[in-house]
Amino acid sequence: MTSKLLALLGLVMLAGCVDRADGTWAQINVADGSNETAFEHASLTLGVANIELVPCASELARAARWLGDVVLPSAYAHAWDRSVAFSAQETSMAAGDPERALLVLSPAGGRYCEARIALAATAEHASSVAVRGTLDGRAVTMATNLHVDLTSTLDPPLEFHLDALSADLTFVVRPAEWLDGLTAEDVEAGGEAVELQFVRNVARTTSVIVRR
Amino acid sequence: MRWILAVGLVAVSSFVAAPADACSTCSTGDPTLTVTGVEQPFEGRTRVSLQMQHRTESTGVSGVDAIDISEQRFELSGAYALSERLFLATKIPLVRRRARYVNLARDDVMSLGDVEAFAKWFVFRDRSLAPRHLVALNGGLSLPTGVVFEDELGRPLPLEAQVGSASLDVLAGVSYSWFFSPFSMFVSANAGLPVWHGSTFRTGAVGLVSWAMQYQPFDMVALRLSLDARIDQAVREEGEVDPHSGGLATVVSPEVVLSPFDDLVLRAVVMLPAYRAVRGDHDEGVSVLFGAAYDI
Repeated sequence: MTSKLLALLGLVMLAGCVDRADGTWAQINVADGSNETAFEHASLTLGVANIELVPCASELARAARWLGDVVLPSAYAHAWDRSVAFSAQETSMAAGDPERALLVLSPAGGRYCEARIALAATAEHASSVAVRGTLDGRAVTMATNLHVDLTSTLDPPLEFHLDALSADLTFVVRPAEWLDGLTAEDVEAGGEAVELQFVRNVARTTSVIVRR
Repeated sequence: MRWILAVGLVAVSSFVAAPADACSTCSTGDPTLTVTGVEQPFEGRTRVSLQMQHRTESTGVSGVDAIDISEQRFELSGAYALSERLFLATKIPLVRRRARYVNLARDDVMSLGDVEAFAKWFVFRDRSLAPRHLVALNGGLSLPTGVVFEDELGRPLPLEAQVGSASLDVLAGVSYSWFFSPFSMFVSANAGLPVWHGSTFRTGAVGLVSWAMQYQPFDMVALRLSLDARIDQAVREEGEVDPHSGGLATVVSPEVVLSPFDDLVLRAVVMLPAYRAVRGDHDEGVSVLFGAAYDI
């Protein structure tokens, strides 16, 4: 009996044993949640630059965080922070496509009050946001390469702890409303005002839904 | 390779003792209670010891990349004096470690740690019996016997979740002991230099300086106070420098040493983190150590 115990101990010492437990898992998706409007969109493209879950923090903590970013502008902290992901990927969806997975975050335990997605051109001739469809019976394409930060409040806050390790977050975009206030002539004419109206519409109509 | 080394070292550490003298203090001619590592040598002295240490450590930025570590180390040591000038010794650790990550993931690992084998050569001894001054040179190896734990994809877990350094290190140093009953003092300076790495993480060179003062008011009881300083080179993982590694850390350790009967020395140590000048965010908690050493 003793020799068996010693042999077992020897085996554990030499071979080692490991027990691993998974951490947090936040699946980030994008979905087309358009309702019917005058603009009948056919497809959309998003240049996803980064996605971030923002911890709930007091104003003081926010200020400290901002100050830290100013003093240490390198990506030092972010490079290790798994509540943020720099993805630089272009995602295209046709109207009616199902929800699409973007990436997975593994944030620190705690409460998160905002979800952010930053859209930017991922290549020289790419766009941060683009949509194609039919407006007033005419085929139109609207695109911008402006940097667009979309921030959605999570209410109630999303909390990760040992009994709640995973969640699905879906950014719901509504491309059918992205040309609200614009006509086919406006889109064809282009210009800064049109582009800004387009970006405002994108920001205004984007929301986040959370599923656990 | 690791099995052969470990088995070989266990065999070395299990030296059959030469016929023992009446007691270790009688043989040295000095009543000082010596803890593991600072024994006075006499030919044939064989000492085994078991130490248990619990410690905690935290690296990284809270809420960003922090890793909390809790470690229990059981260390079996064997020392044998080939002569009154040469001690051979081994340390065989069994390490249990828990790493908790900021994303609430956890790794629990346990295995043989890095086995150390070293020799201590006493180059100066002011007199044969009851020496007052002892100067020794130390040299040895730290062997990569600790298991390198990997994830499901075969990638090594972070160094914080490893029980060993996965490196072959050359150890060298010098020590001085002073005995003036009821007082004694021990000073040592040691360095470790990795000469071979067996994984994607690379530990760097390490320097250790220790000073300990001991007061022994009774034959059976001694009080000891140590100051240890450790300088670590930064760790590299997959070619990148770990921003939370490297630097200087000091520890102050009050200790009680007891000898309930001849040849058995018990110790209880509390290690308190003191001055630190480390890179990045790296904190160590209070450690406790219990040990028993027995002269065969």
